[in-house]
Amino acid sequence: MTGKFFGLLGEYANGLTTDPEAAKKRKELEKTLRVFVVIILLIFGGLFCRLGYLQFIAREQYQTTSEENRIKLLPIQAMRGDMADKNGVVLATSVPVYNAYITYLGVKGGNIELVKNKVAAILGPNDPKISPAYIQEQIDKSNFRLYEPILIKSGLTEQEVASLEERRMELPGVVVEKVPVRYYPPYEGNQIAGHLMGYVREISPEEMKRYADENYRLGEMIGKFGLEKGYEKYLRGQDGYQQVEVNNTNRPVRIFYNQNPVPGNRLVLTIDAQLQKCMEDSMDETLKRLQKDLPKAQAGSAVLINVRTGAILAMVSRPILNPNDFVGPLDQETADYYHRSNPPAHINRAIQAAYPPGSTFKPITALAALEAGKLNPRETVTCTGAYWEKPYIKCWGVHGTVDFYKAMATSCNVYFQEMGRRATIDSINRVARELGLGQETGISLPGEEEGLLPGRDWKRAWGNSYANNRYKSRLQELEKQTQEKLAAVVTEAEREKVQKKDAELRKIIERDYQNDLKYWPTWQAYETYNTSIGQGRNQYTVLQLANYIATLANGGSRFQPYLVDRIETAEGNLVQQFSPVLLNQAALSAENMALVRRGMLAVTEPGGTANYLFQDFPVKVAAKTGTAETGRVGDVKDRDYHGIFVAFAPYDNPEVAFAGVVEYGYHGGSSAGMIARAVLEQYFGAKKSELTNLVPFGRVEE
Amino acid sequence: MDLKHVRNIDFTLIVVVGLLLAFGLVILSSASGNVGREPLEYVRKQVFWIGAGTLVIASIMFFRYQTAARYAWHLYVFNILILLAVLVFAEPVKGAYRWIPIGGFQFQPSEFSKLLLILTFADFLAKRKDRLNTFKDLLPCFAFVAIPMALILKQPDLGTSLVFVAIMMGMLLAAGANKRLLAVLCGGGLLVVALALYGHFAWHWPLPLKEYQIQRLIIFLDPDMDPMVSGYHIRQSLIAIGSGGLLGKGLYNGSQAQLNFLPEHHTDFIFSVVGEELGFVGVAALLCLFLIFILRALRIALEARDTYGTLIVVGVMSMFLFHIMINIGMTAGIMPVTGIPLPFISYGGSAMLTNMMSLGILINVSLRKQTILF
Repeated sequence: MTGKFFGLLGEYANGLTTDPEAAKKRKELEKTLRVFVVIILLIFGGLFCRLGYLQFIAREQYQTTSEENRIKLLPIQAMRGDMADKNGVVLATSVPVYNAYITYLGVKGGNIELVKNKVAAILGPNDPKISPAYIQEQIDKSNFRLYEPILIKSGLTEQEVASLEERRMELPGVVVEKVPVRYYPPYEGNQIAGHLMGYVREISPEEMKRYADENYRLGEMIGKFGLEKGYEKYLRGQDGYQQVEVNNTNRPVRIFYNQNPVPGNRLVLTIDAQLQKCMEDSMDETLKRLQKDLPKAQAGSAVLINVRTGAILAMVSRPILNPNDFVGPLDQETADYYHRSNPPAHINRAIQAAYPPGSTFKPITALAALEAGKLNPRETVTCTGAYWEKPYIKCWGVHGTVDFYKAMATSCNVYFQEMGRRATIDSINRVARELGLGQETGISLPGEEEGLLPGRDWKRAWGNSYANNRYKSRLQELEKQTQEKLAAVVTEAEREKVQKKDAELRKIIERDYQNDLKYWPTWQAYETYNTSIGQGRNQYTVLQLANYIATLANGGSRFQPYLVDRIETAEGNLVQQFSPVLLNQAALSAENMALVRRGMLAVTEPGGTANYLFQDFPVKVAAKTGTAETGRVGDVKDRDYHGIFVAFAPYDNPEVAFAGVVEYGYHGGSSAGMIARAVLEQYFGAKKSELTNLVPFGRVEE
Repeated sequence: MDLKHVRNIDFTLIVVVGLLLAFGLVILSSASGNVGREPLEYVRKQVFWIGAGTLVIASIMFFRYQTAARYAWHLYVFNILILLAVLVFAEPVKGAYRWIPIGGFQFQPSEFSKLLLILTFADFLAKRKDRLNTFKDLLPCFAFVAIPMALILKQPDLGTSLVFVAIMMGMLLAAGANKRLLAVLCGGGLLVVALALYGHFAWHWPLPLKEYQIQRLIIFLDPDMDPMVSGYHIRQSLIAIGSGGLLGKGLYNGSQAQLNFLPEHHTDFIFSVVGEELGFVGVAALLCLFLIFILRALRIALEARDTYGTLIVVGVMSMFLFHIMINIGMTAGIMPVTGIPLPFISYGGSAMLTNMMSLGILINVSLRKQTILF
């Protein structure tokens, strides 16, 4: 075989030599050189095979990699959608901030030193850190992403923009670009609806992971709170891209094409900015007034809801949250204010905090008794200052004989404890549940609290776990003590004594446990009394209270509260119109509900606890005041009360429902009631009254 | 030079080398377009070195190659001296001492050293032609090569020292050394190297090489192990060649080379540019030219007038063959990265001069082949 290949070498074998010695030598050499031919052919054959594999079989894969090497996508940020109130007042928007960039493609081939000096001369005076060296540093820093524009300064002043634009010809590669930054404009001088708006911030690594399918970029803004978070996918829009060809150092070589960004959608809210502002102002005013006597009155929340649709007209939470604080880095003081102060501001107290309802729960007790057929409105109960059943829970006063209307008007504890007893907790539970208490309302805001509606089921679960925990910890304690004692014993007699003692104690614990299991998981009568007057373990969000009043007011249609009326494109084309969502039609008799509404009207009539608030009001308002023990550790039982107020109006043909809480506000009427008055004045276009004048001198209610 | 020799001239060889040089210049014009101060800077320089090399070939014609044998020991000492000079005078480039500045040029003595080794070792072998049967017989030969090789390893230039081994083995084989012994030595050598490398990674055996050299030796086994540093060259080269496909992306259109993803694309990795821009067609054409060139050289060795002539031609051929195998094998990811250029194609003055001188030696031997005796 090698001989055949040798033929390739030429016609050397023609017997050109005659010398036999030389011929022999030549033959030998020929034999040796055949080895070379084999080696040569093996080497070239191997190389051919390998190259054939690379260029035929593996070709596709390498072509893809080669493309990935050179094509890079540059994102163009989409404009985030605005949010506006029902009348078009813009509450959240994006404002252009002018940034100066240097693009590598632009300065390439030019005099970069000169450009750096000129840029530094223009931007330096307002920002001493900008020097030619600083610009070079920025360029060096983005060495691996040179195809992206390099940020030199953000937030340029108008004058800086003008100077840069004027000298455009001298500054090749310097680009001034508009970049949208989130902005929440104040309304008539005040920041409003901060907790509702929420805010956007840079996406976190965890969010990157969680929303892996949504193609977020590192450093992109994402809604973190409030509507910004709840409606992120509508507001975000779609980033555009610029496709550039880059070289090995990621410097752009040329631009292939642009895909323009699609701006985010615009949310038109159900909120009325005027009402919202009115609610915010009166909340601030009320808190300020209360703080003179009640320094702990720092926080609160109120909601005004349309009873016919569930649309929220205003929603306030205090301490205030200004979303503009979250644009850019958060300093320590601000961060403490939002997260670590007492009370912290970073909570939307309308949905993220649950409060004991106090006397605002009494309409439910009444409804339960009515539904059970145990309440006759004309029947009287005698209030002697405390209920006649154990544990003899006190009333606010001594009301004497009270019928249903008087009991509502005076918020008589004795009357409602008796009605609660008659109705039983199961009936109270059913009515409260029909009206939406102790369950999420389903509002499209993140982080809604569920609250707690206690009943037999809840008690069973809670009591079992309480008894078990107590049993376990006592056993552990005993074992520990016995071990210690056993370690100290000397004689056998002593040991026996310790063991005997241990067995005795164990018996006691076992017996107590059996008793505990009988007692704790069982609903006790006093708990019904507590629940009847809105104390005990029950607690609800302000929004739940508002929606319960709205449902009662409209005759039992429980709607899902909502904040967004419609979603539009940036150009104003309708994307989605939201209509009221009926969650359930309460299975309660219309007559009974009407009776309870009438009872609530009595509250604002002469003799009622909220009479002073609405006696001169042009529209009939039905309401209920509440003063609730906070149930918080460390609070003083006789002084620290939350002030709670619920209302709907007009009584005859209800349109709106209100619920409000002022933490440590003491009386419902003089705290949250004031806010209700201000908001309803605004809503019905009534004459504005001086709220402080409404507070009756030296009055003690409830 | 006797004019009657001229009819002995090997035109096939000349034409093949001419085609190789032309091919090289064309691909260099593409590969170096984004390297120099102006697009054709490197082509111009390469043309200059080809011209200089042609003059060298022409002047070599006038000497009988046997003259070199007479001054073999002088040349050997001279070889060692220039290699010592490197260690003394050279300025480090990327940590290696290889270049001596002479005039305005940077010379790389290890390139010429290869030729000096061939010319001297051929004489050394020719004299002990029939005494190369035992390991003991081979020991002086090893010592002869080992001295200049050690100096080159010191630079450090692992690639060129490996070329020395290839030259030595090729010449020993041609000189009639015991074939079985050589095969055992080659196989054993590879085994020792493999074992040493394995031992280095498994048990941290010390090796007389820098860590980056070791890394480069083994990275071709799995370039993705370190794709951004030591595996970068091979990965980009494989991408370049593989993405070329059958017809390539077209001259001047290879994104890997033109956008600088492929490093050293005008020198050590110029073959990858051929693969990327001209595809398998270009690669196959180039390989065929090399194959013809090597086989012609083998024929010259066979027809040489004397053993000395045969041996120097085999030395030169072994050198070229090894360069081709290691360089192309490296770009194709089946050989370690050792920094050996592709003859006649890669950019480089010293290498081009050495290649032209080698060609001169081939022509010189072929001119004086035995047939003219009659």
